[in-house]
Amino acid sequence: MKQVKCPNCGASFEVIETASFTTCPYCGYTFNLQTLQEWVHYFFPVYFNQNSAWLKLKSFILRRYGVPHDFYESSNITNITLHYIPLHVFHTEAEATCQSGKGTATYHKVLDLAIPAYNGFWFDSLLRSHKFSVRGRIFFKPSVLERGKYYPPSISSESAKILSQSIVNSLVLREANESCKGYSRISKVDVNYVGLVHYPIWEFYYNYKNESYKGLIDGTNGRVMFVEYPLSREAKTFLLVSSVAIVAASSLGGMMIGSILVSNAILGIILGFIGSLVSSAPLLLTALSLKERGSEEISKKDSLLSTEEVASLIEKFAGFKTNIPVTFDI
Amino acid sequence: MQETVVKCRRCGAPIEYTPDSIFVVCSYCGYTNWFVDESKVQIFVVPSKPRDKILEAFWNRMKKDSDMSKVVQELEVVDTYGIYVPIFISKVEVFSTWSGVEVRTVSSGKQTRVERIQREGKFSDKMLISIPARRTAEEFGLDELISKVSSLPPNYIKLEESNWDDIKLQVLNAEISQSEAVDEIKDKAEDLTRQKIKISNNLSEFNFYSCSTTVTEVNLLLVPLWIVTYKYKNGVYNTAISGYDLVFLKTTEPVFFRQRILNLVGSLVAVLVGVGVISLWLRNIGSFGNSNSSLFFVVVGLVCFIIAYSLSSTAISDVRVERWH
Repeated sequence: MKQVKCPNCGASFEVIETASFTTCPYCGYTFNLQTLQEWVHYFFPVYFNQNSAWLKLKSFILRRYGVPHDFYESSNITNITLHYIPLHVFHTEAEATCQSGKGTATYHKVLDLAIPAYNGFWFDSLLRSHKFSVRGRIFFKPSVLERGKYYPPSISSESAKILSQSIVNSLVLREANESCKGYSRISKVDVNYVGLVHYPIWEFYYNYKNESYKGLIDGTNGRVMFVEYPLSREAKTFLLVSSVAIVAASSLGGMMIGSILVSNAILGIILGFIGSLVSSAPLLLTALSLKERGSEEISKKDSLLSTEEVASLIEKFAGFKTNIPVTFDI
Repeated sequence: MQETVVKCRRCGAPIEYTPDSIFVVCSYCGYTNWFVDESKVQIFVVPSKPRDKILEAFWNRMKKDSDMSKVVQELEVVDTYGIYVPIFISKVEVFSTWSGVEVRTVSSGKQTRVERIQREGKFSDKMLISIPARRTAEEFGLDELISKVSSLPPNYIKLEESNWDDIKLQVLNAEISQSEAVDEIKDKAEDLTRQKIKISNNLSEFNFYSCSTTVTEVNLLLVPLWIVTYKYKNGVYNTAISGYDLVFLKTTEPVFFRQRILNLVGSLVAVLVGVGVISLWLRNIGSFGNSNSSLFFVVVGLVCFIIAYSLSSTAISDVRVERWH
């Protein structure tokens, strides 16, 4: 252990020898131990506490189709964890220039990116497309650590920066290639580190009739990110009966249509059968699944760039991340 | 443990400041505390209606809605909150040169063929573009509020000339400076223009597209967004209302059993129509030979099946979403 002095409040405290960054336990100031420079560190406050998050999860499930009538009373929490998940935030701008017979054109892409700085959750893929609550984001406070499970970043800001650069480059190049048949290249790229953000996410495990289900809630805006829930026997029966009825009615109707229009009843039956299988697929799949799943949509998909798209790019480029380890000591 | 508290320079109330706040508007007195002097801009506010007017509008809508009015007695409002969202709005002029390929199906009699036509042109346009002054943010109804602000700009007044006590709400800090906003607005304008050209000229691909963008009059507006959360049979639903003109931006409503059945019936009808169309196509295959006009029948038939699929998915979905557009 070694003694350090906080450049912000002047308090002295101990950190482990290998640490390169630390957060002052007295004032929450996070800084680089070598340069003593500030590491911009935010967190999002928890507006949804354990009870309100659990209520939100239940009321979300209750508005879904086919939830058992006794769900509200008969479901019990078995495990609940508040995770503070680190994300590196970047402001990126890139420009691509294309040269073609028609002339030269430039294209721009401006993007704010949040790169998850810790891997190993079963919900890693959900984090990649996560958007922040419009409310919140305040200076990191050490008191946060007492309330939830805190994860120091295991992916350094440098490798996240390389990742962000690859993402914005590939997006602007794609835009150039879609707009111009010629030779395109990146002519400018600018990646600014906004800072490290710790984001609160509730992970729930609950029981209903001896079966375990899980759910994830955004701790700041209460959005249901993911949930599993049971379907009642009546709902399953209704879905099965309806899909069988649809298939039967379509085959019968198809037979009539086939014989009237083209005087070929067999053809009509076959077409009706295929069409109704397609159309009743959502009912059948729901009826036959063991656990139903859902998530809450808040914003509509951006028509120009969806968050899923960014998520898939993170996944793609993360393959060559350099993963420079950063030791954090909190 | 000591935490630094930043105070409003006028009234001394604590304000929530983060390192990349450009300014913080004090929620108590409405004073603008600037933290980045070089990005000072005029801030305008679109005054919000008070909370009781928002709730009145909510109940009026529920009473008028043909489905919701039947259960209006069973609804209960559990939460109502309003915020001023900082939005950059700007006039943008674009001038673009383009060339591309239009793909057209031409039919003469029973013959149909696909033509590829080289086209080029110039395009200029004036538009309003707005973006939120927050990073990677989401909120129920925010997208709709932003597109509403750019298509129907609201009336606004200078923040310091407003009567803050009458219109006060929590104000979200702006995190994006004006110069960053200009870059983002340009990016958005270029993308929108390309889409416009593509759609209006029916282009399948571009050979060349170049766009020069001039951004003028960047204004920062504080626009009120209200979220009403209500309960029906233990399920919760949301409504986003624009606070200045009480327009419903986005509403989630329960799906009633009758609607589920209607959707299933619709799905069945769509399947039968599809069957009819495809069987006609199969009969005509002989007489049409390899002509392309039969393609039309196949597409219509498949579209019917897709409609049937989406109707039956809607039948078991949890909410109906209604959006302002």
